[in-house]
Amino acid sequence: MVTHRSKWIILSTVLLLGVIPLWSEQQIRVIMDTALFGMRIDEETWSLFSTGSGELDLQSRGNRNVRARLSLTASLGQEVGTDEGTSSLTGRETATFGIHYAYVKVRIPLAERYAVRLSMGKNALTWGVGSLFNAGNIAFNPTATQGASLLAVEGPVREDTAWYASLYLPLGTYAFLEPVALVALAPASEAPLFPTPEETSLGARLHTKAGPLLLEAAYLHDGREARHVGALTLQGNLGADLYLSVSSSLPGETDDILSSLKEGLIISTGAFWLNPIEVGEGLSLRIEALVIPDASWEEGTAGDLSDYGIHLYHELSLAPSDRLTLLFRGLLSPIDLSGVGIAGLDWNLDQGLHLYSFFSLQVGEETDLYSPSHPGGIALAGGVRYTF
Amino acid sequence: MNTRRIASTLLVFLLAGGLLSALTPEEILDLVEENQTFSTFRGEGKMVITDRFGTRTKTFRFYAKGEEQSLIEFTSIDEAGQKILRTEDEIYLYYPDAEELIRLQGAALRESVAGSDLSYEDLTGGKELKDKYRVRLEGEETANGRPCYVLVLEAKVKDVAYPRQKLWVDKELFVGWKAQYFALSGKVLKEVEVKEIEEIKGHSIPVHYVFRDMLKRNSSTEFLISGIEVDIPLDERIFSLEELTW
Repeated sequence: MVTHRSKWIILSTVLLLGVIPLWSEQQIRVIMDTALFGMRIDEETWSLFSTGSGELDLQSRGNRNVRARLSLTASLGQEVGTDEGTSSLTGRETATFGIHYAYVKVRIPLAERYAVRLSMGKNALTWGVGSLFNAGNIAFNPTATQGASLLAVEGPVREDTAWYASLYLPLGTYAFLEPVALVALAPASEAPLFPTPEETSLGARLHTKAGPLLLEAAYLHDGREARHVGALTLQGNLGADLYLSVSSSLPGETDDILSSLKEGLIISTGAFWLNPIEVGEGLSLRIEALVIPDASWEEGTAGDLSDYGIHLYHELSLAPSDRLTLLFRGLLSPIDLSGVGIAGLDWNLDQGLHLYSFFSLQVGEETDLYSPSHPGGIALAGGVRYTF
Repeated sequence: MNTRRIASTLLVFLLAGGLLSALTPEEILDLVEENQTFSTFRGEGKMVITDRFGTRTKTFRFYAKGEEQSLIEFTSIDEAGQKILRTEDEIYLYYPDAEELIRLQGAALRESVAGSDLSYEDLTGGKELKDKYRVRLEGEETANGRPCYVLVLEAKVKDVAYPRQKLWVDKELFVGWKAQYFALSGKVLKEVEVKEIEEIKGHSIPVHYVFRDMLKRNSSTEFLISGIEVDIPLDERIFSLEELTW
């Protein structure tokens, strides 16, 4: 979300890009996505509404030592108001503008055959290994599923971005050290007006190989929460690609380190198979688990994933042809025996053109993590996405 | 490498002298592999994927060093910036939108590349066929108007994408004009037909060929390669995680 003033900055940028000479090779890409949603709001109410979004993605190319990207997003929706304390759509259109990527990467040669990379701006940052559950991705909340696109057909389901500066220090062909500074964009409290230096998060990850294993160790001092977070990730292959991430955190001041570590412990693990059974090409299966030992292991009232000790995720992707992809994703909460299942279909009809649809159903009781009585507990959608 | 090159050059010279019948299937395969073995390779490619709904085009840059190291960077708009780094026994995928590195091993090498009829193994697999296959000469036929040896390769090991292959090898240029890849059942899985070759630094390199997945009706992947440079100095860092995530 950006302010009204920022809209003018974005528009000015777009206009400027149209008139200034372009000194380096660049790639301009536009992604349009429009969809029609049907959603169950409560026992008596269904809603049918449409959404539209666009992305103007500008990337510099051609320079061996500098890369930059600016991605402007706009989405059209409907204003949400409150009617007698209940959220509802007012019917008024709202346009939301944003910047998904805005960064510059520079290679800085330090020796004849050695360069470090400096990245600054707003960009994705993915540490650890995992599709949905990734305890190694400590720069973001690994117990949150917000920001994940469970309808993504190709590539990662998460594209979390943040404002940060990082260095990439190569340590040979398959190893690197990546120190990072994540900038706090807003103060944690009402005063002071601006974030204090202490609210910046500082950390690093070391990524390397040990024989057939991939190893990643990461540390982050979370400035906003004033805590130290560490993570270790392993990945290898034993018939399937197997991965495990363990992370924990310590408050800045603690008398009982072991108890604090136990409280902050998060474990994610997963397995990925390609073509596990002979049905031709294009079948993949992924299962993941998220374990939070210190969370509740007894059924209660859950608001989000961090309330319960274990969660399961599966993803089955089947491409009966080059153009058609069927997706079956599901999240299960074993503690209250509730879950959500998503069946999706993506049809790559023409160059850059995708028709998609999905049906999502939550199963569980009203107080469970997933329930058909939750808003959006039953949903279906059909849409078109075009990249040109 | 040099010894092999001298030996094969000498062999080609002798072949031109009319000693073709002296060639064993293994020697023919050696000459084929010699012809397609470069210390380094750089080029740009275009994949035109055709099926009953129409065509889609994917473009990419391709770098290779030795027989196991390769890097593919897609430049077409749908996949722009996605890269594939192939090493001896693993594949790294890089998705720029998530700044995410994904490491795949084992069966991943057989997965289709960007919805084409090609697997990563087809694109970047090692060329030491003799290590994995027994080879025999089945006869001689004409392919693309050229006289060819017909070689049949039977897998000696299990970890291969195709248990059986059949190759039509040009008797003079030692380049494959046609190939068929079979399942264990004997069914043809894929077929490749070379339409055009280019002579570069003494190598006959296919620059236009068509892959067909025989399990998919009306489906083919046409490959057009341009800007080829071979045996040129290539920075080792191209095949590193740093370049992959750049």
